[in-house]
Amino acid sequence: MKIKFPLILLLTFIIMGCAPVKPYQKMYLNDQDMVLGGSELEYYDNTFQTYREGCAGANGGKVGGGCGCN
Amino acid sequence: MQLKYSSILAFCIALFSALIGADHTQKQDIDVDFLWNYYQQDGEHSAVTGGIGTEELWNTAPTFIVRVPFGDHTLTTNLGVDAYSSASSNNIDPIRSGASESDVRTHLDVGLSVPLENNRSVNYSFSASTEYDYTSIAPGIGFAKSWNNGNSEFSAGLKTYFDLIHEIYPKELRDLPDLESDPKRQTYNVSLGFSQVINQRLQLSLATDLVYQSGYLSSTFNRVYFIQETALPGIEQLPDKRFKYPLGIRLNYYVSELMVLRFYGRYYADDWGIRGSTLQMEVPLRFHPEFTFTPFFRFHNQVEADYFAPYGENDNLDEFYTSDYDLSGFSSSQYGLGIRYYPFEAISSFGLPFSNSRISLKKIELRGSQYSRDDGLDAFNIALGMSFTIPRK
Repeated sequence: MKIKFPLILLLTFIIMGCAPVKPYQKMYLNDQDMVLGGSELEYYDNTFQTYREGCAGANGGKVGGGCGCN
Repeated sequence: MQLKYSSILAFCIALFSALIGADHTQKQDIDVDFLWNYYQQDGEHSAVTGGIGTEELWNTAPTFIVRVPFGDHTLTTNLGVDAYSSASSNNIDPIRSGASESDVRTHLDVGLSVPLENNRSVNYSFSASTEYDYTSIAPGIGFAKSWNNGNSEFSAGLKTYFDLIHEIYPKELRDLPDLESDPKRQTYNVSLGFSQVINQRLQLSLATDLVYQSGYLSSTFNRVYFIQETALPGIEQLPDKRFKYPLGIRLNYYVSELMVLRFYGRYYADDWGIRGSTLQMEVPLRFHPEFTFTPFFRFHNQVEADYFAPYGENDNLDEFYTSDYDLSGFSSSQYGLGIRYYPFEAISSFGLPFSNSRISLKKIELRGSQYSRDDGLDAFNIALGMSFTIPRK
């Protein structure tokens, strides 16, 4: 609880401080390394992490169904 | 059973309708990705032998991903095979002799993305997989909407897994009464995501998967040894319900054309008592316009499940118990390097049989990492990716 409230507050300030970016200003944001998600090869990392750890999800990978994983 | 077949039927109808409604006159290029991975591990706490013994295993997984545009619709097909060999699996039936037990898992994932008016889109998905002891089918649907010139986006999805487990009990326990026959498992996953552009160089996303599982959630071949002296070990017993609620955040910052900072953090909790924190940092470095080197580091820490105890420390009077170290408390670290070669011109091209088209190799990627858990498990993973384009006339 101690860390959750400051984190939520920080995220709120970050989002409130957003500056609208027009489409022609997105040359940096459209860089392939700026994609908000894992690469296709990172899928394999997510897969073995799901099998070897009790935690899964919130990363676009397996969540526990469809396999004999946790 | 009715829900499973109804959802499959609904998916097929939606997919057929979307394909019929797509614009088939525009001929856009087809993208094909070939991925391959090799994974190996070893440790000292095999769940098959009650929390002790070798965890030696290797796995190789070739996968093909094909993206076919139909106008503004995109059909994606993912077909892959996982072939593994495991020394601990051989201990399910120690009377048998020979090499380590091996198995092959085949999976197929089909998805269709359909854009709608007002910056909205819907996607349909269907997955199926089968291996010696596990069969699964999983229909799904998702929705996304962006606003504010695409600076903000919200997405939601629902995916359901209907799994059938082909029970494989330890050899010495197969004649016990009251064993589960044809155990089933269902998983319902609600995915929620929000992404926001902060400024011209910084963007973030939040994601959660609210997961509810029911059915047989144990592993039929995991032994458990008790504090009490018993003639035979027990079989892992876990609750028939589980609720998971992870929350993840990604922050990407464009420092310069030489460097990008990629941060990922996740907090995980479930009603089995597991709590986990994960931090990952990647730093793509571009010293040459066609090459990118990406060192990365990941740290994970988790608190054990309420039902976990090491070898010989479970109580057979408890309702639930396991000695699966994947559900124990531990810290793990992973470090590695990714290399990408993506030139402006195609790397190579070659003709297709019975066609005038030429397939072009656009990109090659390699990613390798070393993973270590503080309970003694070590793993190595390396993956190769090759991206091709097939023009359509």
